[in-house]
Amino acid sequence: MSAFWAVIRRDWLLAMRRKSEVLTALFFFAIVSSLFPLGIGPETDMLRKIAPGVLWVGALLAAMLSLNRMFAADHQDGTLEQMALSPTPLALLVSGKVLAHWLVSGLPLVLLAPVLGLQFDLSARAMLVLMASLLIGTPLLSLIGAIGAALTLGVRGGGVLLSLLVLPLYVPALIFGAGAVEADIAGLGAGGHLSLLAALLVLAVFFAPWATTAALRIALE
Amino acid sequence: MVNDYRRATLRQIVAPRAACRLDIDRLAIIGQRFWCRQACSFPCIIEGFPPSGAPDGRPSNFLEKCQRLFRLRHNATSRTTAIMLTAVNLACVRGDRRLFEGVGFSLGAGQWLQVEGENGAGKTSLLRMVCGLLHMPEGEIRWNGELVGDIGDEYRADLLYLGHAGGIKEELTALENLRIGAALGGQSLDEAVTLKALQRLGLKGREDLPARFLSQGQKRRVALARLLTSLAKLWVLDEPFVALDVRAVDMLCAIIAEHLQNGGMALFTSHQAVNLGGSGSALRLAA
Repeated sequence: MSAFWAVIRRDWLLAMRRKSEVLTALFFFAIVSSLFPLGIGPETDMLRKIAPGVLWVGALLAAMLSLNRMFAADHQDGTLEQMALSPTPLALLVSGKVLAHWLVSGLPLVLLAPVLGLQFDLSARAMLVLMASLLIGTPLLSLIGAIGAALTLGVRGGGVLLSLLVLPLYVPALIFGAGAVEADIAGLGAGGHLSLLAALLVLAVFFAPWATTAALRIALE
Repeated sequence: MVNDYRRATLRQIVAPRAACRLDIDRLAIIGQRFWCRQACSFPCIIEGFPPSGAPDGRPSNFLEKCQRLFRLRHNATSRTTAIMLTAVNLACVRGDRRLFEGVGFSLGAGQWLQVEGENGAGKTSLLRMVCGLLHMPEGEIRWNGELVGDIGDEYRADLLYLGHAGGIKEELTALENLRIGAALGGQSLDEAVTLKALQRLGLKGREDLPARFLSQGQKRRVALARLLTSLAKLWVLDEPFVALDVRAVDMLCAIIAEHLQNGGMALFTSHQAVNLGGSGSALRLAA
């Protein structure tokens, strides 16, 4: 278990030393979601309608940005081999890496979302639901993304392939995540959507590290 | 008290950095473990120990039983140096080319094996197979008589692999690299030990410098410092002498020789002839 925390601490430390990677994703999220109100104009009804979808798509693409670096650096400098040779199961270390990835690139999106929501004239309640859906949804994005990142590890031009692999798998998260906010605005209650999103997360927590580990072992051969 | 003995998992000989020549008649029970009186830092855990055979309240008889059991299991090897790593009939297939086949070796405590061969002969592949990083199409590798695939974690705890890439993070300092590397292996290092290891490898004053400011050779030294802090018995080193200056090569030889004297094993590839003393051999892979 100490190796699990060591992985998280290391990845956190690395992210703090190369802040540009974290900030790039964050600024990308901010700019992409700001372009829509600028392009559409100040029609608050329209903006309120598209807000959940736009913010979710923005968060999803921002989370994608940092995916291909998830294992690439470790693969290149031999750390991945050392992780595979650790007495601690690789799946546990991979979970640590995914958790670190979420802390660095998922959690900031959750915190930034309400600020961006202001541009869309979202109510305080809708913003809370948006944050909740992102809080459940972004770990899901990291977990699914890890599978894609592991599968495309060492592949030339893996970045594009990664998007093609992962984006379809993000669709359920997008539907339920954005759906939660829309349902809440429509007065239907967000409970159902959030529950389904949480169910997906539970499923991914169990199976994604395992699938990622299998893909990493293939990449290491 | 006997219950305590029962609880101790008696699985295999664990001798981190201690003499591996085991004299079974000198086994003694100290605390909850068996110790070899010869080298007192040598906890000896016996495989397949049957708790049912231990008579209650009679530790002396208990010891005899264990000794007998141990002799039975390690008959051939208990008096001589125990053979630890054996590889039989290994083959390597890359694409539709067979790089080598029928390769076998055994490596006992205090022994080294240098793998030689031309570029592309499969030296690195062989080493990665031994580590379990590469799938073996044929043959088997055993650690203390057990297939390495079956004992997974236990084997990996005894193994230290240093590949072409040393696992050094450019953004982290030498100190952080070493401590995090050890933590990945499930070992927590305190700062004093880490600093001492770095100092011995000539990195004094550069402990707190991010690794990207170090030269190629110095980065290599940081990676090699792991040898000094690790408790692993089997060292698998892929071209350990690359990028090192003459003095560092001598230093590394001394470190490996020390490890061998402490009952360790070293398996490495190198194009240069090295003098490690002790008992060692070379394995030539024909291309």
